[in-house]
Amino acid sequence: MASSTSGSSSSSKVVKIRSSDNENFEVEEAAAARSETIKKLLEDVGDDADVIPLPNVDAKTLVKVMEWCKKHMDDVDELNKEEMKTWDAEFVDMDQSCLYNVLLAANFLNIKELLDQLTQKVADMIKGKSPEEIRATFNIKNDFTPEEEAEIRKQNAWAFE
Amino acid sequence: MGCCGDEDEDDILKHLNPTISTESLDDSSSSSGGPGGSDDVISPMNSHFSALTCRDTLRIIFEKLPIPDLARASCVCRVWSSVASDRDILTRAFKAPWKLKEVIGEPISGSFWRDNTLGKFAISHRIVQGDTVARLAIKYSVQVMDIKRLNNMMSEHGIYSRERLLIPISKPEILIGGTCYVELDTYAKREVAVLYLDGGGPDLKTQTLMMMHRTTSEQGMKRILHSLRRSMQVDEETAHYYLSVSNGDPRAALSEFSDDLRWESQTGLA
Repeated sequence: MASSTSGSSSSSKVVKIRSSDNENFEVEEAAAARSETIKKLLEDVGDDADVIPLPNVDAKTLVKVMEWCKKHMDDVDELNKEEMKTWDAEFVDMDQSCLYNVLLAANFLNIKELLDQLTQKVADMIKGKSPEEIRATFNIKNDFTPEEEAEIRKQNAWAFE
Repeated sequence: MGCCGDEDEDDILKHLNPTISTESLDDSSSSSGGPGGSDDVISPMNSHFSALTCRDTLRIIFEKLPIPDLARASCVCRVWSSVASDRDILTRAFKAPWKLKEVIGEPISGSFWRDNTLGKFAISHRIVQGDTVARLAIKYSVQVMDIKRLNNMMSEHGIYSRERLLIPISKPEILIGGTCYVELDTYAKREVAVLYLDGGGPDLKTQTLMMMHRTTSEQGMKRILHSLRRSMQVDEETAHYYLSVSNGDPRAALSEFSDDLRWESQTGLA
C-alpha cells in the first residue's frame, strides 16, 4: 500500500502528552509509540486525540522516558549498536529515586526494552549482597518478626556461605 | 473496551488508573502525595521506594537474578520473600544457566530449586539387551564409577533388573533447549532433573507417582513423613524415598524399609 508516504508522515507527526503535574509535552509519534500504552491509546482515540494524560508519570520522569524513546525511535543498525550500548549504560546510571520513578513509568507505559534495562540495573545492584547490605542499599525496612527472620535465614543458609 | 472514538479525558483516565502500581504494599510514601522524586538524597522520607515493593516490577527484577542472589533476596523483607519464592521465578533461575527450555513436575522438597549444579541433572537411559555399564560409560563419555554412584549400584549384575539407568551429564551443552522432568528416582534416592534424549518423557508409572505427590495434601504428607521419620529414625529425604516407592502407603514404606535394613545387615558385613 502507501508504505512510503505513511513512513514519512508518521515520523513527522507530533502527539501531545501531559504529565501528572500538568505539564504538556509534544513528542514525535514514532517516539511516543515506543510505549505500548500510548500506542494503544492513540489507536483507540485516533486523530481526535487532543492531549494524552499520563496521570502517574510526573514531568521530570516523563522527560527521562521520552529522552530514551527518542534515542530508540528507529531500529539500530549494526554499526551503531556499540554506541547505543554505551548510551544506554549512561542512561540508566542515574540516582536511585529517579531510577525507580523511571522504572515504574516504563512499567506503566509498557516500554519493554527500557523496563528490561532498568530492572537489569537494579538486579546488578542486588547481586552479591547480603540481606543487610541490600536493605542498606535500597533503604528497605526489615518487617520480619525475629522468629520469621531466623526461620527464613535458616532455609536459605546455604546461600550465605 | 470497544469503540471509544469520542471518549473524553475522564474516561481515558479511568482506563489508566487501575494500572497504578498494583498490589504495592507501600503505604508510607505513596500517601504523601506526588512521587516526590525530585529529592535526590535517600532519606527516611523517600525510603521504601515503591518500585521495590511493587510486585510487578519486583518480579521483573528478580527474574534477572541467579539462584543464590534470589535466596538472599528472600531474606530482605516480607514482600521480597514472597516474590522470590514464586514458582515461576524459581524455575526461571533454575533453567537460565543451562538454557533449558522447560522443567516439568512439582518437586516435593522445597530445596529442589536451590541447587542447579550439573549434578542435579541426569539422562534417562532405558536398558536394552547388551547394555553394560562400561558400554554406557563410553557411549555417554562418562566414568563407570559415576554411573554406579548415581544409581547406587553395588555391582553391575543388577543392570537388567532395572528399567533404566540415570547417566550423569558430562557435557552441559546437552541441556540447551532441553526439557527436564523432576523425578524422585527410586535408585538415586533423591529428586533429579531427568532429560530424555529420545524426546519422550517419563513412563506412566513415574507420572502416576508424580501425580500422587501433587494430589497428596501437603499437610497430610508432612504428618505421615513426620511419623515415618520417627519410627524409622532416619532423615526426611530417606523417609520421602520410602514413602514414594510404596505409593504413599506408610505401612508399606515401613516394611520396605525394614526389608532393606535386613538385606543390608545380611550382605553388608556378612
